[in-house]
Amino acid sequence: MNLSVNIAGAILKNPVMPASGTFGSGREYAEFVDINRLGAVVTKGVSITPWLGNPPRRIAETASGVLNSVGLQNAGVEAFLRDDLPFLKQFDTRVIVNICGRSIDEYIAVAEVLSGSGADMLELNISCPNVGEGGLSFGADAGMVYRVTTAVKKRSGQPLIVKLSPNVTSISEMAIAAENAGADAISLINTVLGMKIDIRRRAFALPRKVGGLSGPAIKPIAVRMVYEASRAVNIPIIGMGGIMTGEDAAEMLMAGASAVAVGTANLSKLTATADVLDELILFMDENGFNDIRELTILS
Amino acid sequence: MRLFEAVILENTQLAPSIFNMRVKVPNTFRAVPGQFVNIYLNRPDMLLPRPISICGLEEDTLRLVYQIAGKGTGYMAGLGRWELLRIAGPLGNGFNIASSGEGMSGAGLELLIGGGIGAAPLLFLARRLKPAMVILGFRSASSVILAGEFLSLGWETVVSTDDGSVGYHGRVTDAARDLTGGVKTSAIYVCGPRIMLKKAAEYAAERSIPCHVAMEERMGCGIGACLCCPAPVIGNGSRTYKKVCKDGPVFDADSIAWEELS
Repeated sequence: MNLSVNIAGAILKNPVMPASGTFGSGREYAEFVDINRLGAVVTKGVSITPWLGNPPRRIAETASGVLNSVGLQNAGVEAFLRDDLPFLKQFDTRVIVNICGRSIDEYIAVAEVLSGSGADMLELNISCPNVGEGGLSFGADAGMVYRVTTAVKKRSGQPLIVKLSPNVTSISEMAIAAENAGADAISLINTVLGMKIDIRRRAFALPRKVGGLSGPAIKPIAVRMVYEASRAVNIPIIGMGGIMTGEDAAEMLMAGASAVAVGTANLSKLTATADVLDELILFMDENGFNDIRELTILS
Repeated sequence: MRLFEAVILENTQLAPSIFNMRVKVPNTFRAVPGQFVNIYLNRPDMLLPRPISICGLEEDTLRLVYQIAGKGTGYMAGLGRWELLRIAGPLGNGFNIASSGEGMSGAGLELLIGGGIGAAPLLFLARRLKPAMVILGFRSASSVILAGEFLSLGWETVVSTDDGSVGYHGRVTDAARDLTGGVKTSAIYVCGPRIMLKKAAEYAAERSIPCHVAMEERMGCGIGACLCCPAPVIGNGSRTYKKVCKDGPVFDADSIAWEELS
């Protein structure tokens, strides 16, 4: 059975990876999951300088979903290169570094610092709903998607994945903007903008009021958007949003994704990434698939 | 591997909305007071694990005393004997008791302060310290839990209630002031509602007593990866967020930026 996929020239041994922000830089999960088994590890968002993140509370549970408002807390790229990247490079897996910034210059700066590093790919986070600048304000406008992607692509030493937001009217338009700007792949969806009110406390569940919704509640949105994007562009798509099982992963691949990322499931089940891979292999076996790419072609 | 399936041996009501659960854990399971476990509900509508502090550990029996605070803990309360629970743990750092253990003698009094369900991890701590004094605050007489167990371990046990229906009438920190104001106190360990932690931290700071607080925050992964449970701390002169689940839940009270916590 062939599980390997080619994303922007990099061969991933299988299409399963964690979604940025749910897996740290892998260190905490290494006790529960054999990192060598994963197709890639996608790191938490890394910025040029340390980011404090949002005040508590940062998380709230909803029906079959989770709202978060972390705000991309991270210790900055210098600490990442010192503490996290060497750890990840011990494993036989691809390293995809998620990068964030408050301005185009900050995105460029972090991409430049990482360009000579051992990171295999960069994922441009222009879709986080939990920060004031950068984040969603870049990802919700096709012109901005084009500008920031072009600028970072010019200066980045690695293939560039652009992570798209579902909080847009036309996902195809954003996907096309990224492709035209030179993106090597796209990943979607980031979290869906949501809100929860604690009626007993008569207060917003999250002090920033809004948060990013993830989990099985958003899977149908993700499947639809991956399908639409796959019809609009020719670059590979990493599909994510509510993948909890191998069958969910198969569905995302059939929607047009070439690889999948497991996010919120990591919180529900510490072994989720490896379990999704095992279940996907089982699904392929039981349904007569010999090559993972046969699933993607269905769409 | 800190991830296992455990059989429920007991899950009974202790007081209104408070439950006492005992589960069988692998005999390699070790924990220190202040640590917690994550309970996985395996329900698609409740995705997050429930962090529950450890109330006791005797051989391969783990004791959890928990309060129904929402849907998840409500679901837990409905689980019966012999049902299986998926558990990760022990998680978090636990109380730093390496430097103490002197009890009433020599170094001074070690004082435990608990509020409501916060008494649970303190009972585990009480087993590892020389008996001294514990002050437990509750809403009223009907919500008093675990006080008798502290007593039988030899602890001088003071109960205070908000309504005065039993014991001391008022805040635990006022009780501490009245009862231990003149006694040399070597350390204070606190677990309870945030306002209690804050008041205890102030009390300890006024008297320059080392104070260890068990913080509570809504958590995601429980292992320090998702950064959903920040504790605002002051370290090396700068404000950062530490992780309650991994750097805590126990912090030195004077490291917390209390003004940030409402």
